[in-house]
Amino acid sequence: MMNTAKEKKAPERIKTGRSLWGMVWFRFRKNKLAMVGLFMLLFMMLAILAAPLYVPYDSVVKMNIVDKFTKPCLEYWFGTDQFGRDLFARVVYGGRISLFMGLAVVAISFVAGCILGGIAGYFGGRVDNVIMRIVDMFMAIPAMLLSMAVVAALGTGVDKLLIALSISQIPRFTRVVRSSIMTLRNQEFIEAAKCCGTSSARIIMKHLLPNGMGPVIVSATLTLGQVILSIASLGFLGIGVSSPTPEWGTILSENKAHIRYYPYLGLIPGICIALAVMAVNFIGDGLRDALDPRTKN
Amino acid sequence: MFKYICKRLLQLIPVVLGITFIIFVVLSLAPGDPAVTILGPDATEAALQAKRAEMGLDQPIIIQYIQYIWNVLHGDFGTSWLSSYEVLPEFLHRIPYTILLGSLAMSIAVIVGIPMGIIAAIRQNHAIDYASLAMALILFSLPSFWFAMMCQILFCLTLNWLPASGVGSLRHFILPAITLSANILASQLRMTRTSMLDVIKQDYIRTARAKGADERRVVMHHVLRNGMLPVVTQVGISFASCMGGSVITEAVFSIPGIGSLLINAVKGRDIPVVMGTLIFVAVFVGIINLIVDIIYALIDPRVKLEG
Repeated sequence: MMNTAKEKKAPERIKTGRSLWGMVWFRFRKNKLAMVGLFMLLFMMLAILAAPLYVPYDSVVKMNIVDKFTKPCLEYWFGTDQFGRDLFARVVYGGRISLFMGLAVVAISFVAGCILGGIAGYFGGRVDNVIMRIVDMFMAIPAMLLSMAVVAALGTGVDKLLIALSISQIPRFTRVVRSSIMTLRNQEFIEAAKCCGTSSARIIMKHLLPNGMGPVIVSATLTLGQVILSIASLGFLGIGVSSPTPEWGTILSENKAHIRYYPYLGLIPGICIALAVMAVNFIGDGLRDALDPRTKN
Repeated sequence: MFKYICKRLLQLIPVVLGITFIIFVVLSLAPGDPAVTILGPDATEAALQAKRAEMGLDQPIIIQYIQYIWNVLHGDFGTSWLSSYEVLPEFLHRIPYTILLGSLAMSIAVIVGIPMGIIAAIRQNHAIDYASLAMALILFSLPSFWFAMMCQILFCLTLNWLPASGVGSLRHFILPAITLSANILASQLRMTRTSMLDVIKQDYIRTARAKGADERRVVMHHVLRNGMLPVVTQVGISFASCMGGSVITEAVFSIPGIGSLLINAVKGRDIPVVMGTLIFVAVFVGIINLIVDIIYALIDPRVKLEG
């Protein structure tokens, strides 16, 4: 089984003349679920970014008490809430926080994790020990509770939430990067680079990180889903982004009392969160299979 | 074994001290005067001064931290700043609810998730495999607070099958436990399935089949025993996410556990309560990890615990 798989893989790459990442994309493209996820996510991001073109920000906060609790109709696609605010506008603008803050948190923790994990994995020894013991400390507390503790210290708000969520994700990224780097550290091409007198920083940046990126990117994608859920959960608990800034969790928390009689107020924002997270998870699973064809079953 | 357990418990001490120190410092540096929080905005400057001195807030942070840890070691977790209850008794009063909720949710996840993962792996690419994978994908992506809220509205408020909130009886815990278990169940199902499939593809399974062992024996003796190893680790990790998730579930169903205590403490920046909760959680998670490692060594003779 293993041998035939290897024999098959080599000609496939030579024949098509693709780079490693070209191959990954080639395999990713064949995964229907992953492509559905990718298109769902791209569509959502586009719709959110282009929001000002088709729905003014005013409708997010404008209260039309006369129109309160309008069921979804042509004028109000997603209906209106207890203050007569347009739920469609709120959900679309809310996505800016939920989705793009999620991306920002992952980007920050990704970069910090690469630096810390790269240093720990490459140098090993005492440096590694110090970094990893600190990581252990942060990992001793579940991500959600650690974020809450940081929020308790810093207070609520978009920027503070960003810090709180990043702090709880950086240790996890550091671990993944470190273990990925450690499998590469002793290989010949690193030795060759050292012989050429390449600086440590350059070896980490140019040789180790690009080669060890696979598992890190997969875990970044799957983390994005979890972070989107955390942002929404904190918003719902009232310790995330505070009103009147719309955010998917906050919208649900504000609508809470009325969902029983107006189910669309709860269903629509909830389904948006679930779809975004699902899209991200599909992409993550697809990437994992594409990067390591052996795990595909 | 005893030596190993002692060593691991000792290793837990610097981890807990480290994380609590970091959080203590961050919380102390945060803007806002605790004396004002306790005495209210109308307090006189003299009263505030006296309160600060009484609480030791005029000392350097490191002294404050040492004092705090010293008190904790003597069983004194301090007094809540917001409602002046003692943290430890309040904790002991609330812990049973959180533990009951958490263990029910973990049991559901393990009892449902792992067998479903096993069945999905054995019947790979059959309808049942796709159905359970689809269920796992959906459950894994649902925001747990939303799922809990929607179930509460449907089953408690509309259909009136179950009590909507509170902790009067075991029935009160049915829905919270199910909604809390959803995420964990999904990850356990996927983990079990992947791990089982990894093992099924191994050569020794083919050998077992070639020897003529019947399918039941192959699955029970060869696949399961090896395929369960990563699952044990996953169950251990799930305990931590279960602790995190129960904060949300407790809030939705108004269960007076540790979680709802923490939310109010975070909102009001009630540092003694936040610190107490985190110490409790860190120790709890550390002990669970230790237990998982011991179980791992017991079921996998290749793993040796280094004492």
